[in-house]
Amino acid sequence: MLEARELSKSFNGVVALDGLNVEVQEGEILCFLGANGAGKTTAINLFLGFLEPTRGEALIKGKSVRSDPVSAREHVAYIPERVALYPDLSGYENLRFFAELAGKRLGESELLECLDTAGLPRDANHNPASTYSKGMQQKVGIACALAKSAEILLLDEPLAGLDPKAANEFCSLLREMRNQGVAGLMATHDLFRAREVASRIGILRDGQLVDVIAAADVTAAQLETLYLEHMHEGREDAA
Amino acid sequence: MKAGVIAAKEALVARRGKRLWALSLGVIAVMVASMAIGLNRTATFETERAAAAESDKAVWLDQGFRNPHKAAHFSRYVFKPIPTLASFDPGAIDFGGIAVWMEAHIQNPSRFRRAESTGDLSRFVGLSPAWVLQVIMPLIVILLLFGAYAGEREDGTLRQVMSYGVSPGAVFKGKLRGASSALLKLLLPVFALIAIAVFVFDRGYPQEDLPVRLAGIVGIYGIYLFAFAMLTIGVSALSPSRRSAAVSLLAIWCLVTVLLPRFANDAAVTATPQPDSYQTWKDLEEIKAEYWGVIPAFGIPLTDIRKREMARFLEKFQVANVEDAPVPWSAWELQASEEYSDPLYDAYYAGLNDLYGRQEDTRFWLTALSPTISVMALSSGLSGSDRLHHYDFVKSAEEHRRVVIRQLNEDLLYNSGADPMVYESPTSFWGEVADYEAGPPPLTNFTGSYLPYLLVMVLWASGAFLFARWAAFRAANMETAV
Repeated sequence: MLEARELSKSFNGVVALDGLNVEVQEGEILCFLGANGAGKTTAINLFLGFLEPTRGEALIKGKSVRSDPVSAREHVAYIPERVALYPDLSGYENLRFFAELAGKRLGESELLECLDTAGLPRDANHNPASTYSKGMQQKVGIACALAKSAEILLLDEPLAGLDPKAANEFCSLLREMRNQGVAGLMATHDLFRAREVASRIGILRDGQLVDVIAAADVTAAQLETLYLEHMHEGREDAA
Repeated sequence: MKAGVIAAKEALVARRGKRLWALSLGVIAVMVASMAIGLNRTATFETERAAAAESDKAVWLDQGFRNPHKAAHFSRYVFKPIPTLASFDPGAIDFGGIAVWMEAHIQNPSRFRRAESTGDLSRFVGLSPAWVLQVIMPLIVILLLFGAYAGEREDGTLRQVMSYGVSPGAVFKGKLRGASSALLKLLLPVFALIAIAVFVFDRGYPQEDLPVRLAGIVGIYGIYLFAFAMLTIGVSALSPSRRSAAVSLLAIWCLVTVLLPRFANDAAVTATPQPDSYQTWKDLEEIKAEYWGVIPAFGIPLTDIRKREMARFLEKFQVANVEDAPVPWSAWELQASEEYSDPLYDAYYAGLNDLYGRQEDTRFWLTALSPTISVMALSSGLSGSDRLHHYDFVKSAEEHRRVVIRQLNEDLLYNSGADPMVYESPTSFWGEVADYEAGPPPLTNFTGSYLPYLLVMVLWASGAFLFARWAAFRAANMETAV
């Protein structure tokens, strides 16, 4: 579903992502862990076609994102750190808009079901999005992905700033979607949630993918140790 | 289809945000106030004109037995008809004079400029519906659309929308349709209000081509505000935040609608200075004196021109002395002097008109920087309140003066006998002298003069559209966007 071939990006000569080679299959979520500036968001933006690679290629369902970013995005649902909603519109109206934008003409009951599945409290459906907490906004983002019937999720720090309950609910939803065959690439700092959600975990350091681990093969503590070791190695290399 | 979805969302956001409603209500309130002021001004003007014309006629008819040449100096006024649409755009009405005093020997300039009889505060632009559309409406458009792209970028919704596989062109089309719809919602009630006001309540002099003029006004303001909408969308697309978009656009608004039109006026007058009223009178007196030497010319030696005219007179009537002619030389000479000086006055006023035309040419070149200058010229032209319409009135008043003076001179020539200076026309004669009845001229008289301004407006709107499109595509490219 998602494939990076020697995917690289530099900004004014500074390497942000360096020769990323990775593949994400249907029903699989790959989580990128890494410090700030490790290249996680750059990788997501390259898959979205928001950035043009300096070298290599990002492919969505076998098609190059660079050559046709608009149609590549049609398969994707993008959930950023803070899902952007129109503050004067309700969650329901935002969902209807984004669903229509995805070419889905859904009835009221179907849209409300998406919001329900995403876990937005029913009494908030018709309130202006400006009154929503961050967790509620992320849930509308998930509802949008459900309404779009997206085959691929691109998640950029979606858990940042969420309270533990909201983060837990969000992760449950992601797992559910993964089990239904949705593929995903998620950038996060949260080791523990990454292990909960991901099929595989990739560790990025200075734009390079330095390790890929099957999430089921490690405990949270082992993952933390491994991650810190990689970060430490990075500091030593730099020194 | 995606453009339609975005346009529908834009409309929903506009409705929900209440800004459109608040701005619409504000605009309608200002329009009602300015239209009421305009209607009152035109009604006052027209009432005063009708009363003055009536009174002038009564005095003329009531002068009893009188020498026609003395009557030619006593003479009458021609009052300028104030067109209906002057309520909408007073243009140069206040500065052009509203009456011409018809007198023998001289083509007087128009007088009684309304600006002379208004208070000092009138130098601060008066409130008129045209001014509201020229200056306030662009600001409203900016307030409505400054966040079109900048706001979405700031909130992250543009990125969200783009992630849905929407092409930059579809986003732009959606924004364009949304902006056009908002603009229509703002403008339709405004134009309806203006139409009702001029068709139902206006007491100005009727304009036969009023529907055409009104349609033209709707068209040019539509183009003008569309240009501003596109400019706003373009700047918004290039700005990183709502605040920077608002600041940039307010600066542009101030420059384009307030500063440049004033600068254009000053530049035009500096480039082509016009004679002051003292100089004008001096010039006119010189033309008058060219034939007569001085007036009264009794007892002074004949000028060469008079000698030539006398020779022509003697030849025409095949006599050796003026006393032998069948008509009095002094009466004949009065008309001859008029016919001698008519082309001189024509040339003088045409020169003045050319001078004002050159000032307008200077102004015209600055329309490249400000469409407001163009819309001002077109609006006052379509309203019948510009210099061209005033000059048409001046020419028409002069034609009438020549008819009246000829009529008076001919009465003297054919009915006065040997001594024209003691002859008095009968009371009934004054009623035979024609009244001035010309109304405002048709728009078709000036179409050619307005076409360059119209062309500039269309170029501005097209340029603004292309700029907005370029900026929108740039904004949709997340890598190059600010």
